[in-house]
Amino acid sequence: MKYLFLIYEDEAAMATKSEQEMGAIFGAYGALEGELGPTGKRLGGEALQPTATATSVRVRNGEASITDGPFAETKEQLGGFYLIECENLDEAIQWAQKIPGSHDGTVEIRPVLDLSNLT
Amino acid sequence: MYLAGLTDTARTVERVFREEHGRVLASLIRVLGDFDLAEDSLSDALSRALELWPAQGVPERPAAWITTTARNRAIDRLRHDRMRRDKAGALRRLTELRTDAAAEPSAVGEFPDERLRLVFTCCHPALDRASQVALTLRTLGGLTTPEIARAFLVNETTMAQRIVRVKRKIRDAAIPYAVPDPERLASRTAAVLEVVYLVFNEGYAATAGDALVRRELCEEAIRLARLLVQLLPGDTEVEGLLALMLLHDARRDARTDADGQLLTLENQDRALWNRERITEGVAILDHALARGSAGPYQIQAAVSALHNQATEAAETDWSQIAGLYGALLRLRPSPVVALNRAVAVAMADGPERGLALLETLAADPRLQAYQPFYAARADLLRRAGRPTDAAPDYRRALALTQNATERAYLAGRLASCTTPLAEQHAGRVVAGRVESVHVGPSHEFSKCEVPEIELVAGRGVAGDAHCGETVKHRSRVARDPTQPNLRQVHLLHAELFDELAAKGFTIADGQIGENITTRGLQLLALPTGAELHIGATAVVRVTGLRNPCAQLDALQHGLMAAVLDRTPAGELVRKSGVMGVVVTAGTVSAGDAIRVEQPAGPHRPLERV
Repeated sequence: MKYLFLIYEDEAAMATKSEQEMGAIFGAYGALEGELGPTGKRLGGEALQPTATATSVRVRNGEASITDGPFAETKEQLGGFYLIECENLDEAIQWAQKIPGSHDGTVEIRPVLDLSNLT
Repeated sequence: MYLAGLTDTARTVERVFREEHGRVLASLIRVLGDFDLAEDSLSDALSRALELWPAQGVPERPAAWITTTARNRAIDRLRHDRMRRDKAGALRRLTELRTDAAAEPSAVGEFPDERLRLVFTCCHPALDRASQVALTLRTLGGLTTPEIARAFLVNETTMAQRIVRVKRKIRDAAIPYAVPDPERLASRTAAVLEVVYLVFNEGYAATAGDALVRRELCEEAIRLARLLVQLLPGDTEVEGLLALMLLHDARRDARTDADGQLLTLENQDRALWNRERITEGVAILDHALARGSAGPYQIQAAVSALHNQATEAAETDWSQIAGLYGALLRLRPSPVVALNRAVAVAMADGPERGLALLETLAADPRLQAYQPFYAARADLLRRAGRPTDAAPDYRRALALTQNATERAYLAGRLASCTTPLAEQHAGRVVAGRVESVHVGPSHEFSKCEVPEIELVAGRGVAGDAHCGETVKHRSRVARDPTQPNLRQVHLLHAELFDELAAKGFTIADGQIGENITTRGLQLLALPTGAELHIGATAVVRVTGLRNPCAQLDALQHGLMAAVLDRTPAGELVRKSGVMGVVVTAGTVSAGDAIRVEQPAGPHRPLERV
């Protein structure tokens, strides 16, 4: 089963981190990649640019409205994601605990809807 | 005869299904990997049993019959269901089971107990607590959705939707149907125990609802705990919880009076306690305690056991209970446990020791609206010979109590700690003190309690809407705004609140608009012109009685009448405190002493101002 891991973190707090602290975070992600890679379960994953770069688009009655900023203003913002193949939710929860973002932010696990089984 | 036979069989069918429900359902879910299909097939099997058993007789091994029938029905359902995603796998497993003679359930004990997996799935941390409870009761308890809805006072549709939603999440998020790894077993077991204890407490804490349904919930929780003891023999906290529930439940019949009101431990008839349950609970607890360090459930069970083993309240071993609460506090720090410990210490070593412990708790925001805190502190203050300090706590506790028995108890205690108002009219003025101070920056009726207020000479309370040299009360302003302000400070005796509380009004200090709440001072009997020296410097000259206004009734119906009396001669007596003007400025705060200086000349009783 595929699960999407949405990593939410406080952008403002991230921006104030020192070079050393950022180095530690990158190191932690490197360690996760090192563990995840060989399993062949990593189907995808990226870090995102801050929400200051976000653009939201809504089309209503054929009319497109394009606005600056993310879909919702929240205390923690979407900062990255993984797509991982897991046996079940327990395995997914274990991977989530290993994502560094879950230690100072929140990781939301979403099972991917399998469209191939729908008739 | 035939009819009697039919009824008997129907009863047998019901009994067998109730007893075997959890086990058969768990095994079906395991094979089918699908809650709904398992439940539907089991309910098909129930219909078949009701059809066949009356005519053919109850099968020799009813549980095995139910399992086989349900599996066959599952095969039929799978074959007819084109929409199902994983039907091939489930069908294959079922067919294998059918052809594999060894797997055929020949007797109940011979197929593996899958209920433990089911427990962990139902209580998975990815599910919300209310859903965990509902699903556990539904699958392992075999309670119907309407029964669960009734027990938790939610409507049936809401409960049905909750169960549909949780089963869908288990399926779609792929919550595994498995016993957790050893490293996670303890924490996952703790979550299961929380669910079971929540079921028990829902039935035990007589909040609301049908007494019979509540009793069944307790029985169900105990039954689930017995099952868990059997399935998880390595975890002593499981036994701790079972013992705790048995020991609590032993007091069930003694917990309420004839009117259904709760009775505290010391007021219960101990002859009504269920000795059999106590013996069993204590034995289970001892078995757990002998095998390692005690966890929170075992400690709570030990407290309960000490209460249960005392033949009368006075014989309770409070010092041991205080020690147990101390141990519990180290494992699970919480203000409520700390409160229980303070009460036990007070029972063992005297009220002063308990009060010292409560002092450190008084500022905890979690206890600000916690009735047992005020009730406990009031009792300790009273026992320590400080009735004047106990009265405000009894009043606060009373305001937070709905239970009629407890209200009657608290009102009685409050009355014993307060000077009756009748004496106040006749009595003589001596001295008193400030219980609390309040300020109301707008013309709203109620004022807010503050640590201190500033009295300004000739004007009143700094920051209060009624502060000024000329009249401020809006009704008076409308008549003549140039009149001098004789109502700068409103003082009210707390004894009025005590009297009102006993009559069922729950009024907090400041709520009916006074600036200074006094205690021990017979305000209404003061002569006009008396000067109150409050705190270090402030002096207030009393100008007259407050005239109760109709806004009182808006606060609580009937309050206006309650603060008015008539003398035997039919004259109106106003009891809602006095008004005064500030002669000398100063700061006033709770606890300040009040000294009264009588005016020169003849005594002029206070009149309405």
